[in-house]
Amino acid sequence: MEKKKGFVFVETIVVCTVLLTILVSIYASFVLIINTQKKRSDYNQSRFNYRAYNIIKTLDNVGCDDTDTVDIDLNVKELFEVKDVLVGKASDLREKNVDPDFKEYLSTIADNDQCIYAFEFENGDKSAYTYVKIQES
Amino acid sequence: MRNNKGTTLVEIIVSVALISIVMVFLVGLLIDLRDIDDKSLKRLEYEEKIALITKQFQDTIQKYDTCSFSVDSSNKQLNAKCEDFYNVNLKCDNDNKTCVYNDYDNNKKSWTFPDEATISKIQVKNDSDNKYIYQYEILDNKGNVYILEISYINT
Repeated sequence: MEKKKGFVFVETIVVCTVLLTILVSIYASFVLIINTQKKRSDYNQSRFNYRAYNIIKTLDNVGCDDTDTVDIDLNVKELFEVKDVLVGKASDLREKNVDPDFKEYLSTIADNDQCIYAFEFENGDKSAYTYVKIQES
Repeated sequence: MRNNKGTTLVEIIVSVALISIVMVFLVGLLIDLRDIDDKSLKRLEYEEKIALITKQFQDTIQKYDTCSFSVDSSNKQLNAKCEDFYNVNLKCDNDNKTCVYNDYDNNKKSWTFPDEATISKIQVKNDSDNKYIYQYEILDNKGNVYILEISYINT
């Protein structure tokens, strides 16, 4: 009679491979979630919200009509560490040619048809993002 | 006839080795998760308080077109005087880990940070040309830095 002892080597390898594949996929998802959350901690911080609000106070024309560029005083821009400013409807702004991280932030804005000013600020070696809704008269 | 019940020593060793490899990854993952959860809760507490303080002060001064600012001699209290009459001040003290807000209408609010927080004195980023930025730096015991900022532009 044939005696069978122990594991078949091939079976062992297959089990190891399956387990490790599952673990790697879980870990990859986990790392992706953590990195996304780290990025989102730079979104809509209160101090940058008020910086944006103060900057908008200095603008001559506030609104989305016939405006797609924003003229900010250079002194204000430097003092408040503004990297980029966009004006328009959120759905339109996403089509613009901007920094990929800024584009990713714009994709999180829910109000598609609302006129907004979207800001990118310097925040140490990173960027911080915020937006302000504009009530059009 | 030979009895083939039970497991051989080799089978046991291989099983234990496989389980150990899996457990090393799983335990590492669990420790990371617990660490991140811990940090997130603390971060939330600090950021929430700072957002509330900022909102209280900023919502008051933003009602006015012109405000002037000053810092007291201890560099702990920020004073704002809007439209030449409305006084608002914010004092953050590292001794009692508290920030206290007072205004002209005798509204007083205070927020207390955890004991391990360190609140710096006011840093004046700019107070000229009708543009003002003042910051307090608040550190937790994990080395995270939070910035409480008051900014204003006179129109």
